[in-house]
Amino acid sequence: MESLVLNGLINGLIVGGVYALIGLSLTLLYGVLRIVNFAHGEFVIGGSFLAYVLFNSLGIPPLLALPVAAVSFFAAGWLAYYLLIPRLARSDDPEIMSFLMMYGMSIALAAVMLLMFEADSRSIDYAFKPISMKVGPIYVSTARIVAFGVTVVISAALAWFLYRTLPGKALRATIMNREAIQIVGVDVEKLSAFAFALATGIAGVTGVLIALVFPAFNAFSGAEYSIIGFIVVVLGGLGNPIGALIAGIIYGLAEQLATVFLPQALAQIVGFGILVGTILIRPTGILGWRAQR
Amino acid sequence: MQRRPFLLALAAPALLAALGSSPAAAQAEKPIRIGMTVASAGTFALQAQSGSRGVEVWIDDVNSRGGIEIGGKKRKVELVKLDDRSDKALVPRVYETLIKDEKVDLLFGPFGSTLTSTAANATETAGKFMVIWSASADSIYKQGYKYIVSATQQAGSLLGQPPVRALHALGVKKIAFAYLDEPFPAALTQGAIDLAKQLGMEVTMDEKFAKGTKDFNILIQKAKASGAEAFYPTAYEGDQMTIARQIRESNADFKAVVLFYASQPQFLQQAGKDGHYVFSETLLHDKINWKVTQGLNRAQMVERYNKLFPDAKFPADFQTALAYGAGVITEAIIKNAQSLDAAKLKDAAVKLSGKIVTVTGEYQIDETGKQFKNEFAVIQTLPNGLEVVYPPAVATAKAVYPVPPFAKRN
Repeated sequence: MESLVLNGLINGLIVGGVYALIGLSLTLLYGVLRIVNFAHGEFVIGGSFLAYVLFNSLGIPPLLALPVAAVSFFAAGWLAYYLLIPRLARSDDPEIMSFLMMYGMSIALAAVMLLMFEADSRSIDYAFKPISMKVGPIYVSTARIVAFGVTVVISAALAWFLYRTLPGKALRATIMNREAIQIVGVDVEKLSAFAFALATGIAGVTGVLIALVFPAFNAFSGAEYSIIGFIVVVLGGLGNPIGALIAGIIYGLAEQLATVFLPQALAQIVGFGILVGTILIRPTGILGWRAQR
Repeated sequence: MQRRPFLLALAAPALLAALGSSPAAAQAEKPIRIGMTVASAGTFALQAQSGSRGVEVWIDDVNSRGGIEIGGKKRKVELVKLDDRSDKALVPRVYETLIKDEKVDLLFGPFGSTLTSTAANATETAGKFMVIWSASADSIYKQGYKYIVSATQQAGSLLGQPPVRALHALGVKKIAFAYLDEPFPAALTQGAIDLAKQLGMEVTMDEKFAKGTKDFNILIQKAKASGAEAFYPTAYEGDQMTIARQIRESNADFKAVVLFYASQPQFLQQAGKDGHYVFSETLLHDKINWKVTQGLNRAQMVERYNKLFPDAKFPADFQTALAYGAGVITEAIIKNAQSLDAAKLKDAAVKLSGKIVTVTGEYQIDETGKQFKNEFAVIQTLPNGLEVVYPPAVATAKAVYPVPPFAKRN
């Protein structure tokens, strides 16, 4: 049992790190733009497919696919922002319209991936050497260790960016009070485009990591990651990046440890239990108070 | 529903055949319209499309022979396919559309037990005959349906048993099971567990997991911790790819692992080394050749498949064979019934039991329509290719058991 618990803790931490990245990008988007991005999971799976194509067509290993995904998804996000979001702002209720538009976008993106890659599951036949490493009494996949390392680096870089740089502080200020920051002369339009592009870039990178951590994916896997992202965002506090990081880890640990002690079929219920419990007990999320200040 | 492209695609063989003959003759006899749904997307899309190509191989063959004779006149066969998107809530509505709007004469089931169980409600209500080619869940045949027949798909409770027999023969004494909580994997696993217990094997784990489970790492560790020598998790292909990878990554050295779909071309292509030494099941292998009494034999069916679908992403697989075989059985049933009436077709289907051998093996049903034969062979994926390892009558190689530990593999 001890090794199972240890397994649950280590894998919970790793998987939680990936969930944290999904939640982090989703919460950034919501915080800055007030957009509930139903298509976020599809962006993530788009990253997985990019890694798949790069590996199978050009022999580029997943680690090298990370910067490619970051740059290409950032650029795609920037373009998508100017194509879609300013039109939303002209509607009577931009927040509700964003719901509908992003839901449509989610269906459209899944359909495009279906067209390109067909319906069967894909897997990148790539293994690190050694394929696993011994951590105490258990073996942990090298791919997972690498994915966790990348998650830590990205999270640290984002934290530094958000808390130590002027654009990062401006982003956080926008999350806190979008109107006030305009008064002091910040170009919110450009900042919003940057936030959208940044969130999309992180989603692309997360997709590459997902291809390493959960080997099989298909055109319709995105919805599952969107749901996980929403749970993490609610748990961490809407629009709170640090909250999302903590919530991702909590969710990953809860999911994995639930599998140790409960039948696997019940593990998914734990995730939704966390969502419902958070809404009932602490609707602002675990770090919601900071967002309220 | 994406009806138009499907209708165009499906009608092509029948239309081409019709254009080749005299227009008067083509107009003279109404074609026999067969309806089925095929998923363009979702969990079952891959298998559904493989199966649909098998039905089209049969239709091409039967139409090239002028059709099926009813009342002294040959009638061509026309397939009407609609999309079910792997959605069990959508299936009954689409089958109603096939029956009421498309006015099909009889139906083929969709892929899998999950969808077929809901389709059967619609076809029974409308009093239509449905040929099942892939649904194995025993529960379907316990509902008292009058007009269903599993033409080629063996009942689920029997389907998972050949690997258990093979493992027992190899000396496995402790076995762990896990399965996706859906009718097909559940029925297959329950039958396998029952047989394992009958054979005196110790079942060290019996755990189900929910649809959408992405991580099987702890489940694998639980199976290992249970002391199992063999691990037999059952789900659909995507999940099985993840399981195979995670068994390898977590260095879980079982003496044997059984993954039902591991010898499917798609799995082999995507899983690579993750699938080495894994045991699986299939009905279609170049070394499994039944002496058919009806329809094309394996080599002929594969040749026709390659001719009709030169651009198909994957070669013919056992779903293709199951669906093709079901078409052959359907042809025999219609010929014997000399009618498209559901009751007469069912009566003919039961009377033909034990009298037909198709590409997938012997056809044997009971009054409920449940299929007892068409047993799968056990395959092992060796680094240099697939080998049939059970039953001994068709085995092409001795199973590698226990399989080499991951540390000693290249």
